Formats: sequence, structure tokens, C-alpha cells
Amino acid sequence: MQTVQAIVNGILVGGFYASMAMGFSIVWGVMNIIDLAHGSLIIIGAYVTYELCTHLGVDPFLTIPVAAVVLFALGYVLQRYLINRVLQASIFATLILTFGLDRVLVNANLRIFSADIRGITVPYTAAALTLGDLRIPLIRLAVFGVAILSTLALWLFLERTRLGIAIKATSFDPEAARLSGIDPARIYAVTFGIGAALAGIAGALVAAVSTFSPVIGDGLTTRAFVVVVLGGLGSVPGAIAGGILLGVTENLVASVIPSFSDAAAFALLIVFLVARPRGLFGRRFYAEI
Amino acid sequence: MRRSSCSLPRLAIVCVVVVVVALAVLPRFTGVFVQATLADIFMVGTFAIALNLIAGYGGYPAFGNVVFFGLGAYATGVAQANLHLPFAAGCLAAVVLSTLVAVAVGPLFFRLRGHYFAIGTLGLNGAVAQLVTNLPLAGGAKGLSLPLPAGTPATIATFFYEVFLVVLVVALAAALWVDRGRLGYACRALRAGDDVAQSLGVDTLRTKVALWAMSAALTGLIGAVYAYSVNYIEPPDVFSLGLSVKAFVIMLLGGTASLLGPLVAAFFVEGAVTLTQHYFLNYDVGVLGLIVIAAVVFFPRGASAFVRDRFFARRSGTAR
Repeated sequence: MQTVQAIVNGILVGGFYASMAMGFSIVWGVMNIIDLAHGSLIIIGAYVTYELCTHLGVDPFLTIPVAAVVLFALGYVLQRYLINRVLQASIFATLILTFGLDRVLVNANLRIFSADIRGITVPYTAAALTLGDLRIPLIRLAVFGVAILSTLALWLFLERTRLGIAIKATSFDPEAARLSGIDPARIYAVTFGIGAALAGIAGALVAAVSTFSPVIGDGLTTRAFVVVVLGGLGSVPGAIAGGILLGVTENLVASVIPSFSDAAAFALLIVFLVARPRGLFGRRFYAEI
Repeated sequence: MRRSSCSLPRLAIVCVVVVVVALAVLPRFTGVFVQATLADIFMVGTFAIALNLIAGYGGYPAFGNVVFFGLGAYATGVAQANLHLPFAAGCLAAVVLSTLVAVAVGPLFFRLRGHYFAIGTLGLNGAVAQLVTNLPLAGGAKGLSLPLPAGTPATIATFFYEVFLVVLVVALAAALWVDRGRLGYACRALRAGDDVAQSLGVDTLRTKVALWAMSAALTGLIGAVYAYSVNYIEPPDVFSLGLSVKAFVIMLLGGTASLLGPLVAAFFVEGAVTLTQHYFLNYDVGVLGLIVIAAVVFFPRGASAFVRDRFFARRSGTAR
């Protein structure tokens, strides 16, 4: 029974991992940038939700669009005026740049919001579905639903809209995209904005179900890239499958040896990198395997 | 990018010898603070030189190279605190353990390239850090206390200053050996592509593993010296990615695959870090982040390339 509960918990948190990883994945897939500041962007989204909930008394789920818009704007500006400048430089440069950006954001969050651990309580926090011994908190189910919906919305956007197709075209071949009248610099800024908006949504979800502080961003970034490697770069179904695989593995390991759940995630990462670097559903994009 | 240090002028070697001799006699004239700051610079400089072997010469962005620093620190920690062995034995254990790990995981990791390799090493660092955290022998999350070195604060500071200086010289010698020797030629062939290297008769996997093993051994060694010098280690401290990133910044500023660049850059970066921590209490992390961002935005190909292109353009020809 404990095992079944662990699997259910893993699936629920896996949906959240998927939405978190999708923003990271699209930035990596389209621009070949590993955004080490992704976790900090998520935390900023969490603070947007937290501030709106505590000061205006809004339900956390209603703040999701606000968090998404705020983060989109931040992401667009960061890419347009900062990250775009080193896009053509080496992999070292982009990794270090996003790490530096992450340090700045962490420090800013610490100064603005303090290091206190924050959390939101809503009237329905304790409500749960019970099936025999199995317990499914409603709020976690809602988070799972929003996460999966936002991930699928991104997929529809990429497949069905002109802008989405332009993003995919740019990721395959920026030069050919330019010849077709697409401005890659603008596409990159929009893509980073979308990645950040997904981080904002994930942040709102973090605030809704758990506690957070400025320093937990690193752990979220780590999980994002584990999910991307498991699922495959740039793949939406891959992000969902990878998120659930990571969530279930972590919860199963934690139900046996609690202190080894992170090590299990990293072990899974290394096994996949070595045995199947394209992940479960990976396609090529920029991937240099 | 143009290769800059295929041949090292004799003048540069003379300069290095003069500087090393000057540094060796410096403790007679300076206090504990200067020695400790310089020892820090030697440490991150060595870290960057070691990282440069695999990342600069080899072309593999080993972002998680700090894993060897942590392994070295814990190898000497366990050897000295639990097994009551002397410091030298701890250093040996650190070098052996780091080298073994690099040789064991190298053949698997070198199937990856670029970001995937970088992420793989990050995963390795995370996994090892948590294993160590759960190892009762290593003190777990509470950390591990090492025996105190004998002597007064002044003599201890001088001792570690000298040890770090010796390790730095060893690292420079190793880098020189790679730069000038067979391995250096193999690396240059490797950076032109695995196929090119193979067609020239280079055993590509062995070359990469050898580079990473050397890098790991040196990184493990400074981890060991660091552990003994601070007397107390804990996983978040010695497996900190911040250290890897600092070394990357130093390498980037100094120029990848450059022999002396990392050493010069280490003085500037570590100096900036010390000043920042002194003057920007509570904002030091952010200010360091800004320095890192500025370094990348203004010198995406390294400060050394920038200086060379701007001031020595004629001599270095068409450096792209």
C-alpha cells in the first residue's frame, strides 16, 4: 500500500516536474542554452503568487496568468538585452553567463523577499480524495492538472500557430529561417519569454502546494535538466513521461531510504545519459550527442 | 579560435621561475592575511589549470569537476580523522581516489559531448555529494573535523601557503608537459575532431581519459590541502558548483588551452572576490554574479584573446 501511495505521489509531482522542465527544454532545444537560472525564475513566479495571495487574498490558482505574464516579460528582456549577446560564443560562455545571472537573481530575491521559508494556506489545503488507504490531496491533483494542461498548451502552440512553427523552424536552422523572413533574434527572445512564463506557472504551483525560499532554485534547476535528459530534448510527451519517471523514482526510493532520493535522481540521469542520451522521446534539434 | 601557446617563449619560462622564487621567499616579509589570500589564489589557480586540461585542451566542459575536489577533501578527511594517518598519506589517498574515479567513469562519459557531458558531470557531482552525505564514516551531513596542524597561526599560514605554492608549480609543470608533449599534439588533433585525431593515429579515448585523470588528480590534491587547511569540511562546501564556476570564469578570462592565462586570471578574479566579500556584505553573491556576467559579455572569447587582438593584432596575424 505504501508503494502504491508512493507511486501516486510520484505521478502527481511528476506533472509539476513536466511543466517545470518544459520551459527549460524549449530554451535548450531552440537556442542551445542551458539556463542555470531557470530555478530562480521559478522562485520569482512563486513570490508573485505568494504576494498576490497574502496581500490581496486571491486564490493561488487565479494568480497563475499573472505569474506567467510577469515572467514572460522578464524572460523576454533578459534574452533580448543580455543572453542574446553571447549566443554565438562558446558553450562555456553561456553556462557561466546563466550561472552568474542565477547568482544575481538569488541575491536579489534574498534581499527583497528575505530568506524566510514561505508558504500559502488555502481553505481546501486539507481536502483529499480517499480510495481505501490511498489518499490523494485535491490541491495536488489540481496542480497536476494545471501542469499537464500548460504543457499540452505549449505543444499545441508549437504545432498549430505560425509563431510556434517559426520557433521550430528557427531551432532547426536559423539561417534558413532568416531567409524565410523570420527574425531569429525576436524568435529567441519570445522563446526565452515562453520558457520563463512556464517557469512562472511552475512557480505559482510551487507556492500553491509547498513551502519555498530563494535558495531552493538550484534543486529545481537540477530536476529540470534530469527530466529533459530522461524525456528527450524539446519533446513535450517526453517532458511528461520524464517528469513522471523522475517523480515516481524519487518517491519510491524515498519510501525505502529517504535520504537517497536525490542520489537516485542523479543515478537515473547518468544511466540515461550513457545508455540513451536522446531520452525516451528525443529528437535531434541542436543536440550534440 | 587560434592557438596561442603552441610554443612558450624562453622569456616566459624565465619570468615564471623568477615569480615562483619571489613567491617562495615572500612569507618572510608578509603577514597571515596576505599569505592566506595568496594561498586562496594559488588554490583556485590550480583548480583552473586542472580544469583547463580537460575543458581547454580536451574541449570537454567538465562543469562538475568540483566532484574531485570534494572527493579529495573527503579522502584526506577520512584518512586523517578516522584512520589517523599523516597529511601526506591523506594527499596520496586523495590523488589515488580522484584518479580512479576519473578513469572509471571516463569511458562512459566520453560518449557524451557538449552540454550532455557538462550535465553528466553535474549529475556525477550531485550523486557523489549525496553518497558522501549519507556515509556515516565521513560524518554525514554534520561534516567532518580534521586534526589541527601543529604550530602557531603564523607558521600554519606559512605552511599552507607553501604547500599550495608547491601544488601550483606541480600543476603548471603538468600543464607545460601536456602543452609541449605528445599529449598536447593529440589534444590539438582532438579539437579538430575525433576523426581527424584517429586518422593521425591518436587513441582518442585514451587521450581524453588521460587528460581527465590528470585534471582529477590535481583537483583532488588541492581538495585535500584545502580540507586540512580549514580543518572542517561538509558536503555543500566542498562539492559546491560555485567553485567549478569560478574556475570556469578564470579559464575563460585567461583563455582556454592557454598555459599561463589561468594563473594570471586567478589573481584578478580571486582578488575581486576578496574585495567584494569585504565591501559588499549581503550583496557579495549578486555582485560576483554581475562580475561573472560582465566577464562573459565583454570577453566572450577570453580576456587574453581580447588583449591579443587589440594590442598584438599584427604579430598574431589574423586571429579570426
